[in-house]
Amino acid sequence: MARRQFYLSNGGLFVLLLCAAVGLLLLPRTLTQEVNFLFAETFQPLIRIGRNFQRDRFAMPGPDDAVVSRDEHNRLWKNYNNLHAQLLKLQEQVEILSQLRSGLPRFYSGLAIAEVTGAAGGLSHELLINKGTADGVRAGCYVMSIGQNSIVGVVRETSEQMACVRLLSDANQCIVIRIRRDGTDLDVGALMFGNGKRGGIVSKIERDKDIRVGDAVYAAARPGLLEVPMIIGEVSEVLPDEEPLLWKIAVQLADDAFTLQTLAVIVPETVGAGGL
Amino acid sequence: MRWIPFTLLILVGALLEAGNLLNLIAVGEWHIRPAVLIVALVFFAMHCRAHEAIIASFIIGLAMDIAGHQMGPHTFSYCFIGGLLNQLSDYFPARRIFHQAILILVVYPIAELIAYWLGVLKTGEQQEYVYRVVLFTALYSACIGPIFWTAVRRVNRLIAYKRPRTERGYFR
Repeated sequence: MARRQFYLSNGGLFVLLLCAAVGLLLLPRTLTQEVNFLFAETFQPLIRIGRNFQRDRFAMPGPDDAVVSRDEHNRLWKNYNNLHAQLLKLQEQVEILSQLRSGLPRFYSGLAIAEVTGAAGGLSHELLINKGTADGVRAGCYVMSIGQNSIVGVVRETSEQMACVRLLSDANQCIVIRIRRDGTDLDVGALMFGNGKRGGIVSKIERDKDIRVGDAVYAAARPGLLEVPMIIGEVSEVLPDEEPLLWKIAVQLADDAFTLQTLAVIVPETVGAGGL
Repeated sequence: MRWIPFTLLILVGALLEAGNLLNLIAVGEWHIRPAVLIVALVFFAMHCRAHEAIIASFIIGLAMDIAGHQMGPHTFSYCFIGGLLNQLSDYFPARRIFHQAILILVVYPIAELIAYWLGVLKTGEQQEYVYRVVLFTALYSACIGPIFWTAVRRVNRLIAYKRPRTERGYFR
């Protein structure tokens, strides 16, 4: 039997491939993200090339003998603020416990140390890490920098071996925050969105709140995900909002997550899996 | 066109796009990196016959999507722009470095913004400073692009079938 020849004109091929592209576009992301993760998992060793050099490039000079370097100062400042937040939380708990004995079990969070594979690509601020659902990582988990102890992002999507972390600087990332100041009882809750650069924007803060440059910004505690508030940065600018009687606040993030090689995912322990 | 070497070339481009090597030359607060696959898109759209250029553009767009974080937007925009550019290739010279840079400078924002808005339609997620980031990336890519162009041209000697009888060189 003669083999039938299919001939497609250039125009036909063009339209056919455009339709195929539209088909891909219409597929739900839950289906197509597996392809992205598969690519990243398969070529992980190759994609990671250059990550080590990058850290050296951004490395700051070592601390001087006489004075504490800016880097060291920042690290100590963040550690101090985290400890202070934990202290406040503990004080609250002591206060409650002194009034009544609670028999509720304490939630426990573990840490999964993950290597950064690379950026997720595109215009978004996202990183791929080499820990996934197999290690207990799931969407919504907070991600912190190792050694710097600050929250840098939130897990967005996961596969079995990998996860995509959306950084706090991404314009689509929203996080509940607390703004606090040492030595005062200032504690303002708000929502922060990434500004698309290396920081965040907090809007809709009433002007009667006394927010100043340098106030510490914490990720607010979320039961099961983050037990105590954790530092994410500091207020870098306080401006009048477009709407009257409101502040618009710029936040400088504590860490530049693009340069980090290792991150820690705060993994909530599931009920019945040996939590404390 | 020899499709296996072509696919390998595009795979290398996709790995560069997804990987960290280009971060070494990233600049500025927005972390601007040169776009590699756009150079391949412009090159093959300009040098291949229509049939091959359309398929090549589709594959390059697909590679861009696989290396990125969602499927479809770049596949559509690159296929569309690649096909269009191929039809207009007679009107745009690309022999000199300056012309190559201008082509990349013009094509990248169009392709990337189409992909961006298709992505927004798909996910509803918009980014801040997109136009500035795309503009600076286009400028950076236009500056670096001719280097990649030369590399792609050399590799293309392995990819393209020689057609000595045709007047227009190897590819048409």
